[in-house]
Amino acid sequence: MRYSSLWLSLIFLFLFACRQKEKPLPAFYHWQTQLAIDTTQETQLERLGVSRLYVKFFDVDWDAGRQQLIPKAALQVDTTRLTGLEEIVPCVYITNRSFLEATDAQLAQLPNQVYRKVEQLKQQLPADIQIRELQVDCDWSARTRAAFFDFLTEVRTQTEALGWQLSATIRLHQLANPEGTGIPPVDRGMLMFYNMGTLSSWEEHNSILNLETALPYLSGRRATYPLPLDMALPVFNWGVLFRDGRFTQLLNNLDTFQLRDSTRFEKLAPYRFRVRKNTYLQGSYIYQDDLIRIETVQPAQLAASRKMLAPYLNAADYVSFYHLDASALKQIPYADLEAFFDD
Amino acid sequence: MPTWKLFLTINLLLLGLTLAPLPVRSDCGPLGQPNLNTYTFLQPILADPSAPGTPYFLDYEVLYEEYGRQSYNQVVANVQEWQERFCNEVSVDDIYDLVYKASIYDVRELVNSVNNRRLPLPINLRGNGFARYIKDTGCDETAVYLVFAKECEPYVVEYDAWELREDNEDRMRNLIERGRRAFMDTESYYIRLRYAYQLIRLAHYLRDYELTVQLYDYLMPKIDNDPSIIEYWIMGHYAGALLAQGKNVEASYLYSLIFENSVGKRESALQSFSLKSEEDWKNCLLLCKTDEERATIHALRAYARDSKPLDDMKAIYALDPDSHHLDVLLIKELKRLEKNLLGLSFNPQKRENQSFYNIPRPGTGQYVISFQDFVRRHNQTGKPANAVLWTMAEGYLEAIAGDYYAAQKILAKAAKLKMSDKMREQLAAMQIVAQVAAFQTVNEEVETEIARIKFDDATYERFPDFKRFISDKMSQLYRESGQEGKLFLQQHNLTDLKVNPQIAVIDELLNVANADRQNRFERDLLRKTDGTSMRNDLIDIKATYLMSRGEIVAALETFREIDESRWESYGLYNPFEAHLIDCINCGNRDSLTLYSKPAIIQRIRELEYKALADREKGAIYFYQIGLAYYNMSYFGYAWKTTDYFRSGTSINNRRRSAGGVVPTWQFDYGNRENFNTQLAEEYFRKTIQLAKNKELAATAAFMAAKCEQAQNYVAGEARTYRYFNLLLEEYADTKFYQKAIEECRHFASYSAR
Repeated sequence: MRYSSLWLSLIFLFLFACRQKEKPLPAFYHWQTQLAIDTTQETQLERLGVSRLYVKFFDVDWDAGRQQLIPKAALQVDTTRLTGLEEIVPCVYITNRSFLEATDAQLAQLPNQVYRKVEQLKQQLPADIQIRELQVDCDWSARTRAAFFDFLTEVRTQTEALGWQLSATIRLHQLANPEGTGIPPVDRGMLMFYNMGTLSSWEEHNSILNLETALPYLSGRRATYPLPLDMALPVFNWGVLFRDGRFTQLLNNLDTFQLRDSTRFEKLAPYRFRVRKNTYLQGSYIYQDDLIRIETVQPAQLAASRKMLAPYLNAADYVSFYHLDASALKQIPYADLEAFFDD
Repeated sequence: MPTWKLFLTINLLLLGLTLAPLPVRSDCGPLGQPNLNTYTFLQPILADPSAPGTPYFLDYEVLYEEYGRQSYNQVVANVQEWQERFCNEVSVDDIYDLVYKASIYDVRELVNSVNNRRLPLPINLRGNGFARYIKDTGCDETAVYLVFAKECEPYVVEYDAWELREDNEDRMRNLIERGRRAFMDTESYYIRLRYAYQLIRLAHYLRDYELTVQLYDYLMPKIDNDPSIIEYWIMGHYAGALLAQGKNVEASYLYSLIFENSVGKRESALQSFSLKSEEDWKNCLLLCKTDEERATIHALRAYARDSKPLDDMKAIYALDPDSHHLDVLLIKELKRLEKNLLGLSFNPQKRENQSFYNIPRPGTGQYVISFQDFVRRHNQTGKPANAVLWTMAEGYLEAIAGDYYAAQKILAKAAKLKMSDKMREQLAAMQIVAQVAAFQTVNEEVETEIARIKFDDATYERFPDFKRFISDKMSQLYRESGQEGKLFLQQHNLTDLKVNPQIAVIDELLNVANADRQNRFERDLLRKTDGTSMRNDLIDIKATYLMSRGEIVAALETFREIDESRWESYGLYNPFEAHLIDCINCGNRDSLTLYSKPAIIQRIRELEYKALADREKGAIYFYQIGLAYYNMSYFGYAWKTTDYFRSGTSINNRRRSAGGVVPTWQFDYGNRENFNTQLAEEYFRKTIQLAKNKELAATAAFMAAKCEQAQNYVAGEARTYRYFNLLLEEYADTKFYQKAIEECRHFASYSAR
């Protein structure tokens, strides 16, 4: 009997130890001010089995007029159709200039202000939605690193007390050079695998997801970033408008279909158009001879990203698509998103 | 200035300092990006500050500060309107104090005092003329309204965005209800209008857009009032509610009216104007009642950042040829085209502007032609209301487009028009631009004219870009005519010349300096900052350069062009001292005799003569000459004798050098270093050959070894040890040998091999 229980224990231990890590779970980012899930989005979330939503609660930016840091675009929540969700990760986007411009005294207050603002805004959520993580998004630079990391350290003391994890977004260059750029003092990282090209160059092929650009950051490296990483991948499209040879603005959610009117738009090449006459497009007035490059994410690119990111994906808990938007989701069939998680 | 206005001005200025658009700092930009270098001569005087677009679209901070600050404008307009409504019987200071500064408690006391004539004015308002006027005339409706306005105030002012705003909905709805009753009980239409403003604003701030619209529809027909600024304030909140309800066309139409008519709400109307499609555009134009209104809709589209406004300008012209929007758009475009094209043919930073800033933008050359055509046609057929501006613009556009003759002709025509002194100053600047840019060749007449502009024309000083503009243009002319000296001084100064002397430049400038007669321009060109001529400096630079090359006879002859009494002012040195170990920044011993540069040459020549004349002692003389040449080189302590600027990093960058000139970011022409030690080696070799004293020969061999090492290093070649070997083989028994072993670790380790 004694031997049989020992064997049983060993077998359990063996099974437990050898069990493969579960594949990452799907999630989405929600980056608009109004959190109001429509039926299309609800269906998409349900079909993919999404239980976690990363929701931007507010931005923090430097207000030059008032000479202070202010929260902007605070979240407003419509709780209808949120019932299927188990968990929301509040996200706070902080501009890099906030850390450049604010005084030491203002920066000292910021962790508490952010924490309190998150607490205020989370009151809008249904009580059964859990919060287990807070995410901070900032494209920090060498000059702001120290201030940003100090900020994270302070916020972490508060999230720890609540039993939350603190995560930070990680850009590709930060992944490739952790010694140079520093490792944020957080529990987890979210590798942002998008916006990697040179947006403002007409020659750029696709600044949203350019695997050639990404390759040098990943090739020859083992997935050894010093933090556990989740992944963020793009599911959005936009038009990049150039006027007189210069990048002028982004036209969100623009796709080639919207440029099918050949009296207004001339197709120069796949995804590249010239404006034939002054006209309105996506709420903006554009001029004859303006150039538009459509940037989108193709299912094949997602599949290729999956291969490229394989070592990281195996270790990730979540793969979150940016972002939950009905028109953007139309570009990628549901099956392709689902396939991303297939073994 | 009235005290209330002063108070408001100071407060708003302080606020303004903080609100002023600050340069966006980024730590992401590439290091070493050059500044954008274009020319601008267009000043705010061109613009009519009262035109609605002026403060917001012309990028003149001074005009925004003065005329564009909405918060300031709103208060001023409000106080002035109160004053008008009370027949100018009370001062704006008192109105400001009562409306904006008095406490609700005092205003309530004022109401009591108005209703009960025996009660005095509250103590804090006893000196206030507006409060006194209200009491004396029994204007209880005004007093009661002021109390109501003070009650509304906490709910409509800015709050700390970090804090959760208190839920005041019930209180605000109560206020709206009370206000509605007060509105109906009020007889004065003007006070009714102000109640309407308070109620509609409260509803808007409550985000109850339906209620906002309902209140607007219900209250406004019940007011029969003279035109008032308050109507546009109300309209702003009504439009905001419509916008929130998705009625952006109707809202945009209202915003266009507000932008056109309400100085106090102009800035926010501008930010809210939003047409998103062709359909929106057409429908908005349909809402317009007059061509002036349609012109404003076109203007608001044309004002957008990065717009190409010509088509809209043509439309405005067709609708309302005298529209002030045309003037603002004209100046906006003039500024843009000036930045892109003015002086393009001679701007030395053209390539950097293109690479880093995409200036000029592609297609601008073609666009300016279309734009000129429009301006020309407007001037010929339209007879613009602001003929001075449009004629000047036509002329200046010719200068921007490169037809300087036409520019001068049209600007001369503009000069005949009547205009203010300030405008005439602006015109004068444009005329100078066209005149200078038109010069095809450079000659005395041109130089004299440039000197006249610089010294006699006050316009030159008032437009800071003239200095660079004229200098760049003259550079082009000197380059084309091969006048290297004058060209050099247009872009560089004496320091640049000292760091790497350009003999052709120096000779040409010396020719000018030595000429019997110099024109005013040349005198200025050769004038140093202390007012004296740079002639002697040029001679010193040339002679020093010749010295560095070992051409001492030529150098001495050159120095002799400077009066001998001035020689010492170009430095005193003694390069004849022996230093076993090099010490670049060690000077001479105090007791040592110091020589001017020409005196050093004379001393070298004297030593050479002695050496040739007295073969017995020749070795020691040759040794001293060798020392002088070595010490005057890059490697010696007396390097300043033959160089003005020595960089420690030059030796590391020597492989990028050509002829001793090392490229450096500090100086366009690079830094010439005197790496030459061959001459010194030659004299040390002669010393070794002639020396009968083994100690002297050993010392010379050691010095020759230093020359050899320096040459190896500069040439990037493998080290050779001819002189170390000589020391080892021939002079190991000398005292100097022992001293060298003790003091020179390199030699010690070599000898130990």
